Amino acid sequence: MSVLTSLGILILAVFACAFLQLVPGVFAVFYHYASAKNSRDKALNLSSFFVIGNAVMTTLLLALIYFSLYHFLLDNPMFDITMLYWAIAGILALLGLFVFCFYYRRGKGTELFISRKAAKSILLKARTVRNSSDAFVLGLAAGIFEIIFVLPIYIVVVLEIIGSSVDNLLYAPILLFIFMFFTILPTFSVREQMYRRQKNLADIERSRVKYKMFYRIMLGTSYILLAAFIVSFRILG
Amino acid sequence: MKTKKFEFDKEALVKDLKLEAKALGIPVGAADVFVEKAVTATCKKISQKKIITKNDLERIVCQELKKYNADLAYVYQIRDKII
Repeated sequence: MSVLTSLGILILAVFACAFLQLVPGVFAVFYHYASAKNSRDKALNLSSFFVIGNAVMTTLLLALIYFSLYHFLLDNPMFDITMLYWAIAGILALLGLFVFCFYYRRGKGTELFISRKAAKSILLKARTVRNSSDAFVLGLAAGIFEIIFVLPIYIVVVLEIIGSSVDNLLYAPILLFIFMFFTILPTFSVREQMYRRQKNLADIERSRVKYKMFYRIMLGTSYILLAAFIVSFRILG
Repeated sequence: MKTKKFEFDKEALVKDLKLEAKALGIPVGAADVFVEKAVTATCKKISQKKIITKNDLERIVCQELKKYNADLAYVYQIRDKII
């Protein structure tokens, strides 16, 4: 496996993850209420726990996929990796189409595809965060709600990390670090906007509404491009 | 169709709006004054109606808040529609 191809796939995976809207949305609501109930520094401290919780969930999912792939599939002589790549490419292409049609609900706001009951419960939790463990759990939970969108991407990332570590053991941690860093960057960017640039929830939400179509196109295109990239370089290449 | 009845709670609304105002960084004194004014005006409007839906109530509160602070009205309007 060429490390440049792995890097290309990783960049597309990062792009797809960066345009997902659920975690930054939950974070904005959480920070809005945390800053109302606590001092600025305490709100910043709580927000760090949210980001850490989210990063831990990403790491746990990546580790779980790595363990499952490495021990149950890749060691199995009957296992055909091309079939797995075909399946993932198909799922990614379908998710890309799903993003164009259903990722955002109809209407002027930024309501997402998740059920209204789930959205209400997570927003209620975001409003009532009291301490760092609550913020950590909210960060973990926010990662789970979009699992349908992130799971195929994480599988691709783990396959690339496993593949690149065959060439050089050092590539795996570098690729993992790049992926983790850029995955938490959107949430971190919302935090910086709200803390340092003093933007409030109204400003953040207005900008999300303004760029809704852009996010939708970028997200859908990233998924479809990633599927095309996998077919070109990992199946046919 | 199933309908869920709810009771209008002026105190809870004032408390919610004051919390939102604080989160938006609106000075507490100013927020206390205009939140009270907006809620009083809302009460006056809804007292003329026998039945009112939750959406109607939210729309009236937004209309009243918009007169004093657009950000607060906007956040109140979209607070359940962010994700």
